[in-house]
Amino acid sequence: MLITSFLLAVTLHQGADTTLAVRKGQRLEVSVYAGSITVNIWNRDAVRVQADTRRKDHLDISADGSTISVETSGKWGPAGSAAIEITMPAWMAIELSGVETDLTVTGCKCTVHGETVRGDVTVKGGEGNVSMQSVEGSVTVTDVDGRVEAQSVNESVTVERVRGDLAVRTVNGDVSLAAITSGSVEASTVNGDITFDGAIQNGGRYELSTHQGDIAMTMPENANATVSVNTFNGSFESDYPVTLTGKNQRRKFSFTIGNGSARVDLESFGGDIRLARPGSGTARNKGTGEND
Amino acid sequence: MTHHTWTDQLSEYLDGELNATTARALELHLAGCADCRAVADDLRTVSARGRALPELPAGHDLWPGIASRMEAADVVPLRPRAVGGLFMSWPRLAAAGLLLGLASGGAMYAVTHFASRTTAETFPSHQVTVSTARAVADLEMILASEKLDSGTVRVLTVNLARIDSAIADAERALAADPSNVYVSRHLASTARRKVELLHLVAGLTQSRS
Amino acid sequence: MHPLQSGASTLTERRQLPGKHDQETVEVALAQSGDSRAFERLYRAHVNRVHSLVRRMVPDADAEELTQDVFVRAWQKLAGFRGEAAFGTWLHRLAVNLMLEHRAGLGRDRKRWTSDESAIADQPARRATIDEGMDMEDAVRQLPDGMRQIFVLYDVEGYQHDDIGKMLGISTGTSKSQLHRARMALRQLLLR
Repeated sequence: MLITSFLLAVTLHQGADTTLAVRKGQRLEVSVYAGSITVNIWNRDAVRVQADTRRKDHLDISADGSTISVETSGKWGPAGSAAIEITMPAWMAIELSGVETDLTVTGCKCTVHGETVRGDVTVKGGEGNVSMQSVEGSVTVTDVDGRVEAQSVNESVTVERVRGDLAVRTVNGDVSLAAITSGSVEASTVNGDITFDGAIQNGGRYELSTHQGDIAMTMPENANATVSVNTFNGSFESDYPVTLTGKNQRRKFSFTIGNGSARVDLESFGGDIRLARPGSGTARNKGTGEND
Repeated sequence: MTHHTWTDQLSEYLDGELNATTARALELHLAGCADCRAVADDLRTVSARGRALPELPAGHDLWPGIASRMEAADVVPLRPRAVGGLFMSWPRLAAAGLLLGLASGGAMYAVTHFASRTTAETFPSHQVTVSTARAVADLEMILASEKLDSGTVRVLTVNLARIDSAIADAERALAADPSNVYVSRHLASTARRKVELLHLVAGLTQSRS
Repeated sequence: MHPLQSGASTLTERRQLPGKHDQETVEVALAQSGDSRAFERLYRAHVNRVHSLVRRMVPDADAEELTQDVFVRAWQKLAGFRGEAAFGTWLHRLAVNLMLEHRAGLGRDRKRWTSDESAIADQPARRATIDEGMDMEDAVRQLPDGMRQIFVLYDVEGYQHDDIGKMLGISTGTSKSQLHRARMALRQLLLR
């Protein structure tokens, strides 16, 4: 059933399937209390909403001109678990929210913003800026061209094959950055490890910081970087030759690779920091355990 | 130009605020006018005496009065305005306009308090700074409210405790090595992480209301 | 894997004492997270300057009570400090706002101060030298409100006219002209 813009309330039941015509410039907001929101792309200027739920809840679809809203609600409080599948145009900006909701977005060439409390977040493919957050779940972003902001509190954050600025953080989890092409990377965690491999662009800025965890960075052979290493209780190991004068100064120093163009700051308060060559195969592994 | 017109520009001239052309014209006038030179000298002296005025300390330590007013202040409960998203950059966090100083001080107390009630995990013992009783009460009310699932409350308080532990580590390190620039910066950035997490808590409760 | 070795060096270790600004950044961040001890350290670092500012900007007010008001409000508003200016600058702006509120609350008739300005101009001048004249603090105290505020902010505290304009809600042109009038008035007072 194809519907043009209006205010509609549809009662959810198993197998509900509604398609709404949209026009360029409109954005989509989807809010599902529990369950999942899965977003895929097609080449039509329309939004298809497929809902699957075990309970009789409400699915409200409304349009106010610039925004299409899809929201689940229950008769007496939050809706029960619902699996909502959205198929929409690649150009459409989207905002997803939920509490006990997993969020998955694939192939969007738009701005993607999402937040959930207890669910996992996955963004695959596409272009445009991505900003995703979960409190208790993990966040994974892969194959995106665009600025990525990814945050969790209690789980890990994984970003792979992304081209664009990165701002990644968690509190209790690891940060894994792989095959990154970016001139600006900021990654931090409090209780977790950080791994990075990717291009080190001339003039770029790369800041990896953890309190209690290790850092492993793969530095390309042809990189030009000024590397600053800071640790209070940890150690530093390097595949690249690093020499010091005077007494052992293992905890705070800087050195230059190539012409020193990029700035790389590696900081772990209590963990070990490792700088590896590509192909060493150990960049993502914990260190050999050699300590001071 | 009258003398009055020239003297009206003297302060800007002395402060380097005149454009080059006007300044040059004034300098030429001063070279030939003793009265205006006298006024310029006087104004220079007045400005210098102003700069030289010493600090005027209060007659006694004002901190006890300030501290008691901070304790007794009628704290607005943590009611954040809606923000665009939960991903909070530093400027946006600050722009939320929360009375976070008092509320987050309460969080430091509430973290250990809730930890003992809601989870079997044990936390490393460290000194906790207890802030105002009102802030503690406000934050306890929020964390204990129906607005957040008990599991989420537990996760948030556990992670606040992790950040507090990291802050305590950094404080001890800085006490042992006061000249350590890295530790100083790390302490500041870890304290900011706590503020960000408390803002996130506030945002979650607001969005659930 | 290359272990760290001593020998000929291409390294430089940067070892710097944390600057005052760095340390203050730490204290502010701690205070924003609720650490009242950190806020007390900020108070002790800034109280004399704030008290001086209050004493000179509103000489007829209870400066100690107003100074307390400044710090209590700073604690309440601390979450709004974003670090774009120095903490001391932010604190002084807050203090100036508080003093302007205090002034407005007193309901003073500002026209009365304008007439005082002419009273200064009419005083018979006895030319000794400017350095032998009235005590500077007394002279500043006798300035009309607007002139005194700008003189204190510019010459005593070292703010620039655009900052003063933002603090007092006036244009930089007004700030400059008021400063000149303040200096000329002080010149008259100090020559008595």
